[in-house]
Amino acid sequence: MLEALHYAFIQKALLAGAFISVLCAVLGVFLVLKKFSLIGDGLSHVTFFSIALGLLFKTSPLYISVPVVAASSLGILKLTEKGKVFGDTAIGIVSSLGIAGGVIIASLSGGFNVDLMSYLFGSILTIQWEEVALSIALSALVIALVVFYYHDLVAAAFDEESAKVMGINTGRVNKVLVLLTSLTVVLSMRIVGIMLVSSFLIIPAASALQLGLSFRSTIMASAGFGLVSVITGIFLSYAADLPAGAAIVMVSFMLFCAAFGLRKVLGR
Amino acid sequence: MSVVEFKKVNYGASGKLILDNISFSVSEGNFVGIVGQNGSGKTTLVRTLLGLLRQSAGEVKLFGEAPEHFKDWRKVGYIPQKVIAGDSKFPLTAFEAVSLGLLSGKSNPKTMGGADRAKVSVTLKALDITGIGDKLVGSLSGGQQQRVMLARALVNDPELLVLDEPTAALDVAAGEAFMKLIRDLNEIRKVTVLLVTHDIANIGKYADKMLYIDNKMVFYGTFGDFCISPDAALYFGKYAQHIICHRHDHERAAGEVKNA
Repeated sequence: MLEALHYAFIQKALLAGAFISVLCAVLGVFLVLKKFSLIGDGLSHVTFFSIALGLLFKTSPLYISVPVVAASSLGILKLTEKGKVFGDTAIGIVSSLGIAGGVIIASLSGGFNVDLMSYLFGSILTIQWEEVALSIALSALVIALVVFYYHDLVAAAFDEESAKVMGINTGRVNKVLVLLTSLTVVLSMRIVGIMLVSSFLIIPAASALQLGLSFRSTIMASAGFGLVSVITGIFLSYAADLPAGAAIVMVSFMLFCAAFGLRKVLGR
Repeated sequence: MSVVEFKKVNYGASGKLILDNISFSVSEGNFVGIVGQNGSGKTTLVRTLLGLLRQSAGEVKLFGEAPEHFKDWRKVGYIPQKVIAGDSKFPLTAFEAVSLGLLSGKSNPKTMGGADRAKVSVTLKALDITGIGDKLVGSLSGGQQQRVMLARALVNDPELLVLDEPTAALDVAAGEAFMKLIRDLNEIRKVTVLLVTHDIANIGKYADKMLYIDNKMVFYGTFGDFCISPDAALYFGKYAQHIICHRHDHERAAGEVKNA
């Protein structure tokens, strides 16, 4: 199995996957606790639209996806905050709009081609060094912002009203959270694919939450679950010739089952 | 200078005036019970004071400033009506929850140093909950959770404590113990207290003033004044006013016997 490490495509996949998985797992804890977890799913559908757009204009989908998905995330937040529609309804509207727009553009550009399929289901084993570098740089940026706002994010997730009375600008904190999520969703699409990205955000966090740890330890455990899922999933994919994105998600789910079982055993 | 001041304050929502011409002021060291029935505007009043809602007319002052311009939130400790602590899966220990109370004086990136941890430990000890510091807040009993929330509100040594129905989810004994704790804070540490409650007869045992609202102001003054107030008699009826005062005297006497 270890001979796989000699291949450049495995090295690139492990490197990019490790950074993105930690990133998703850390953000995922805040999203799950704020009951924002489905926002990842909604934004991934908007990503589908922006990728179809990028492929139509023959530009890198990343350049179109980042602004389009970021704007959509702020739109969902605005609709939710103003109380005009329920949060899940806002996500549902934006999500279906993203899919519909993507399907129309894909059909205009000659149907679902290989490129679009690779974004839908991920193709971590084919990513290039420049994409690895971009993943690392953006992961570092997002992690730095999470560290910068860490205590504000915790306070707002626990009790938003009291956080406001502590002088915390919870509106800004929520905007930072959804913008970081949009950036993360765009980054993750090459690894697990649009269809599975929300599981990358949700499952490691949900697994860590089973353990009944402190906040800081939960973040660490979530990052650990994400990292183990990606590394094991990539090796599993290599050994059994399985799609890498799907293998990572299946490993992640097995870890969730283990954490759930452990919780029952420990009686937490 | 008044700690809290409302001048002819109105707040409306969905075409209804929830606060209608409310005027009162709270001086330093006062313990004021805000009383009224469901939907009478008690929580709206508190949220307006804390800048969570903006009044449609009138003037609100918190330590002499409009809440939207108020910056020194270290002076204010707050326990809202609903805290997410009821979610037993929320991964926050009592120690971590209390340390959140220290965020109000810090700028980003906020850090928690040794002095902060010592402050949290001292507060936990003062409220007699040292042993639960490493337990998840959601796994604690209702009484312990409220003490943790109180510790979070007190850890920065606030001058004003605002509590919105803090004993609503507690049994009678835990509620009594919690109210005595608040009274001691008011008497010993001279913390100004604003406490929202339904219990009109019981609040007189602890608060030195009572504000009764029913969207409009009904009464503001001491409990003794309430019992002879013509406004209260007009609103409640003389018989009901007498019953409230009688029940208050009875509960106060029972409390004194228990404390003796």
